[in-house]
Amino acid sequence: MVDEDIKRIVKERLMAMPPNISFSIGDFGDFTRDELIKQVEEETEVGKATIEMQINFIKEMPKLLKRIIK
Amino acid sequence: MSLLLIRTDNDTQTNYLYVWSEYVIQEAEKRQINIFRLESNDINKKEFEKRIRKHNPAFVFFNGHGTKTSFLDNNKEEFLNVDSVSCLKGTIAFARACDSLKVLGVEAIKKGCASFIGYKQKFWIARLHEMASRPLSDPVARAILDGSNLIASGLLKGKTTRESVNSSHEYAAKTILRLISSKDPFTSPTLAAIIHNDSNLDFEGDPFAKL
Amino acid sequence: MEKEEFLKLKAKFFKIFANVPLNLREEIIAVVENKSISWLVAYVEIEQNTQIARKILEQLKKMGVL
Repeated sequence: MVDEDIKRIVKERLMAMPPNISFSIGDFGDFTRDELIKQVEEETEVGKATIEMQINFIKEMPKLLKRIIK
Repeated sequence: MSLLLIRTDNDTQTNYLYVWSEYVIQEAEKRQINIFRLESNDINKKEFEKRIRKHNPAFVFFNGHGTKTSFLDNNKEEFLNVDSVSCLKGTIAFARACDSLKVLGVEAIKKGCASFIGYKQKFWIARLHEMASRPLSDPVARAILDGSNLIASGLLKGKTTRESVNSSHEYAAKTILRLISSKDPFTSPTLAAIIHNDSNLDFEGDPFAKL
Repeated sequence: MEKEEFLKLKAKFFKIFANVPLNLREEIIAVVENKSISWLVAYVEIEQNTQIARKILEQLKKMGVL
């Protein structure tokens, strides 16, 4: 069971993306922004992968400059 | 010296990889490297092993779907797995595919592959929905796929495995720097995909292996 | 959340926030009371010790950001 707060954060982040963005996620397939939001809500394998990816991105944001300037 | 290029095209993602690998083909042609292609519905275990035996390629470049233990053909059936990976013996392999580095890649090295470059998790492509029929014109996907192309083209230019992988990491860093200074509305999804893929890119085997 | 932990997380947040590139500070990082919270909004709320500041810090801690 994914924490509801975390699901909400990821869904809000996806909703803030342009509607014509799609993501191809390996052999999981191809998903529009809105399809991914549904996958997150339903906590499917795709949804969980999306949550992990988005949360990692939030965690990485303060570390990006260190990553670039080595 | 020869390149065995394997590319599937059974869905949007593999079609993007298929089309974007054209830049690698151009690099190989420029350097007069023999290119042997195994593509689309021609890919299967029998054909793959036959090409390896016949052409003895120095570089095997796979574009398509992968699992932790295998590469998949257009029908999502395994044509290479941990039991047959000894056929990569003596080659440098680059898998632009999901998941295959940590199990298949490790096994490949144990069975004599010189180096195996790949990804530890799923390979994400952020793209513009309306560009599906024109992948080469997709500016969002470009930022993601140009970086992974550098690995293959780096090897073709004579760089070592480590140098080629590092050139992709450096490209990702430059792209991230450009994007974080940008007000482009596609910045966030592009950055998320680049960071994810770049964090999962690595290699097994000899860092100094080169073509 | 105890006051001591709140102050510790608050300090951690400010340090982390300082390293977030300017153009990424409008990225959503929390959702509190059905309201999306960006890095910038989080900064203001936490800096002002508002009612939702604690909830924001709790979410960031839960995600592993703090």
